[in-house]
Amino acid sequence: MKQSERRLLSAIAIIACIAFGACHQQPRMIDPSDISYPPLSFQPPPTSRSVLENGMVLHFLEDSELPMVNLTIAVHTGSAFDPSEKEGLAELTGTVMRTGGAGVQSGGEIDEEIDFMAADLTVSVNREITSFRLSVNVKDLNRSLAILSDIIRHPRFENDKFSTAQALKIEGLKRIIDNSQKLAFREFIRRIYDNDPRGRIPTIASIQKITPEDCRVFHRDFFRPGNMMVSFSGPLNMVQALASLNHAFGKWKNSVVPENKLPAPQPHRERRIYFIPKSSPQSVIVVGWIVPGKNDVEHHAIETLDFTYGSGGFRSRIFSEIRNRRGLAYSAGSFYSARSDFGVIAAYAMTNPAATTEVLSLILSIGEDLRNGTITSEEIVWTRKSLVNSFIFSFNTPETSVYQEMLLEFEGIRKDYLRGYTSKIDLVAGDAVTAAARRYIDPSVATILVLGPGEKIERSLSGFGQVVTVNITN
Amino acid sequence: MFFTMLAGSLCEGRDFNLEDRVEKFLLPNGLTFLVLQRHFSPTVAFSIAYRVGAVEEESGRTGTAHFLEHMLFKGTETIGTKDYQAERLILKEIDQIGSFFDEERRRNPRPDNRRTAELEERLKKLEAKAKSFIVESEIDRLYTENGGVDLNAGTGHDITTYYVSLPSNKVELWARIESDRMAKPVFREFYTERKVVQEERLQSIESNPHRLLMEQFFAAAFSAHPYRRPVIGWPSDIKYLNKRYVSHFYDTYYGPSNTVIAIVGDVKTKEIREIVARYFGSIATRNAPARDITEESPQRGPRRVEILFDAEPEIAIGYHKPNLPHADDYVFDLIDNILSDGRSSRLYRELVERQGIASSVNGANGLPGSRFPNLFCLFAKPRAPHGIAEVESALLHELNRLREDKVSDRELEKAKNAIRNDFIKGLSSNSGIAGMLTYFEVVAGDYRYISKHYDRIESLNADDIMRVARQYFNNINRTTAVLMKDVRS
Repeated sequence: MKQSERRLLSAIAIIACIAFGACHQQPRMIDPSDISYPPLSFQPPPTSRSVLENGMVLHFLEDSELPMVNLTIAVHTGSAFDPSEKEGLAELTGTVMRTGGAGVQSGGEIDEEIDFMAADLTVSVNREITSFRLSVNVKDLNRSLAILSDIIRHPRFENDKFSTAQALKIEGLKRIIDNSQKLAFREFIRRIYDNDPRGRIPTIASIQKITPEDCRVFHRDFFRPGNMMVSFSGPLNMVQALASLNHAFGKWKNSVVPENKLPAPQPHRERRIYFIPKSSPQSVIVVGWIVPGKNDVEHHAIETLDFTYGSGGFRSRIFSEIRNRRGLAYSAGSFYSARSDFGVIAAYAMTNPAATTEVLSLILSIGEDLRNGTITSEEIVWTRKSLVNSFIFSFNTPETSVYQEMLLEFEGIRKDYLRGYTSKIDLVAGDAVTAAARRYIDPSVATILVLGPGEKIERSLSGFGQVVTVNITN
Repeated sequence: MFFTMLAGSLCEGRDFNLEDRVEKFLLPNGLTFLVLQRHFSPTVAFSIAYRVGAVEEESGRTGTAHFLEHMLFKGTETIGTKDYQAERLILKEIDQIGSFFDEERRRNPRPDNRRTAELEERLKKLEAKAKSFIVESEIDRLYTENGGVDLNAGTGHDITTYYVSLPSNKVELWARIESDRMAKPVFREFYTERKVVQEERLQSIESNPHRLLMEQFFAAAFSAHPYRRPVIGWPSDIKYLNKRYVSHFYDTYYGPSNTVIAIVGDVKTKEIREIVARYFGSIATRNAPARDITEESPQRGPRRVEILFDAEPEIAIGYHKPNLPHADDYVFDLIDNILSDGRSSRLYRELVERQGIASSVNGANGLPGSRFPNLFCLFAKPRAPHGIAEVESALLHELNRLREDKVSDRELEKAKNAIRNDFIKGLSSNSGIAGMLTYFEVVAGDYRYISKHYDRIESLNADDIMRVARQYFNNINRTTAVLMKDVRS
């Protein structure tokens, strides 16, 4: 509709309002709490599971709305499996598998073909999972699967692409210092996973030690059919998807699966305070703990605790006190990141340097309050409703639905985790949240990391305990 | 439209014709609705877009559009208050003291510090008193406990958008909240929120070298048009954000005829029509505001700014060009793709891989907005020991290649494939579609711009690219911004 037509309609509307005389009066508004809603029936979409000829597990969901296939191949490996002093090997291996040629094609030829198909083929390397994600028009599925299969089975690790990846990683490490938040969270991870392979962080020196041969060995050790799973959604049926995948991967012989399970990290037994001096207009504060994971009986209580502490939006306690009431931060909150056998819960805020110790004190005292049993029944009910009602968004696209199902099996999370989620959350009581707070967010064993400018902050931090100053040198 | 057949006839892909599936209607007050049904999951995404952004602000009032967006989360006369009639009286007092406080702070040549402190104290006390009537963050609470996710808003130079996604049985809650905050918002907690936005600026601009570079880059490229302003506002303007002006801004630009709403998900249009007529239909019509926006005059020579900051170097290069739906804008979409989309793009291949002088390269067509003539931009980060000079010269060389040599048929086809598939990928989530529909309805005047976009792209050829490159990629039309360390420190 053209603007002029719209203006005409507006003009007609004005005349109508004058004629009827009541348009400017809003009708009496119903109280939002009194609105009654039609019932919502929801069952997670039925995904199917199958096994390829070589033993790779497939989770599948048919979806024919768009002519796109989305698939993820998840591999049990990542930076936690980096050898000591060669931190960064998993990441370089994953990166150069994607870029350094495979089978009969050079890296450049693969890039050209993938881009010509307008496909996305990306790799991401995390601590314990490396994922290859392919998003492609279904007409190009078989060709792109052939390329992906070569990348996973027959990577060439070309020298020039390896050197580029290595140089880019070094440049990235140099530049991380420019980003206070990234730097603070990276250092927090290093400290919370102290003495655990998950805390291995690449340095320029460790990246420089890695060779293409190291990547070949790492690839040989971890990239095996029994060590990976596939999630797949798109406009095909299961038989068709299985045929395509078997054609690409089926003949790949399954061999011994490497040791791919690390013991859970241990919670700290004392408070640790780290200070990173950095001339920055804003301080970054992170306070965290190692806690149980998704298979633990207290998992849902910890999730409820985290929601109330800082991840539940504007109404959560950290956000409400630090941002809404005091205007001391734009970003403030908490997160609980959980795997099957452990998790990390952490609170954070970015604030102007003068408010650093006030904000840190608030984060700790809000935690103390929760430990003292101050969680109200309103907070419990609100959290319960929020988590239960928003649960359907875990399944709002075919890709996320099937990926989540795959991840349950991949990570060894108990089978009923998704389908039993809402009933478990419904059972969490206030006492359980208080008990979880007492056990898991104890300030006396918190890992505290503060990044900010000047000696003044360092001095005031000493009021919280002995401070270890960390000078970042990569 | 995108009929596809998997090799080996595995299956047929289904067409996705946006125009066949979007239902558009207007309420008598001028409010536009776009509804698209998708039934994969019982969820629905909402996007409300106002045709207003930082460009509409007056000089000295930058940051107002963005701050108003923050204020719209503070509730209404019926949401977020225990007793609005009583609260209103205190809010009035707060407005008065707040404006005295700001006046005193800005007094020339110098403020009276004693009076400033006194007013600040009074303001604090009044805000504490007002708190007793406030039900904090009520909009957030209502949405969150009803399963709402992605509750957020975004302000740009051109447009301000409010998002949320809900379980599909909660449409009425959305209509109740949004119609109320469209008609009767209350700007409570104004002065505390002003501090929050100052923190936001510290976090998102002052601590972030790339954003700082962008801010100075746009300020240099546009000497007259308001695209030169940062959306978040200049620091001194944020410090004095003014309640009266924020209210005036809202009154002027938040009328129904200046607004587009998209609803995408598991809904029935008939029911949507009934609910929105009931809740939004009675909002008073307001005339579409007149806009006096200064036009940017043609650039008369290369511009260059250097930003000294303690961070690794970065460069931004921009050329003025027409905005959509000008025919040349489509050509720039292709150029953007050829230069910087994907690992096989010209800039990545040449600067990052072959020469090894850059750690990243990016292109963007249409910054910082699309309602007015804008910029085609390139951004790059040098890879040590290589510096800005080498990267800059390589970028200019690649632009020159477009002027001198025709792109190959394959390269052109690759770029067209990418643009077509990007459109399809954009249709994969309710919230993505809702955002896209409102954006183009507001900025292009018709959401169908996006569904017809590819047809225009398809008709372009290598001569078009050469012609546009020759016309726009010249020194006179270029602005360069460089971020580097201060060598004195």
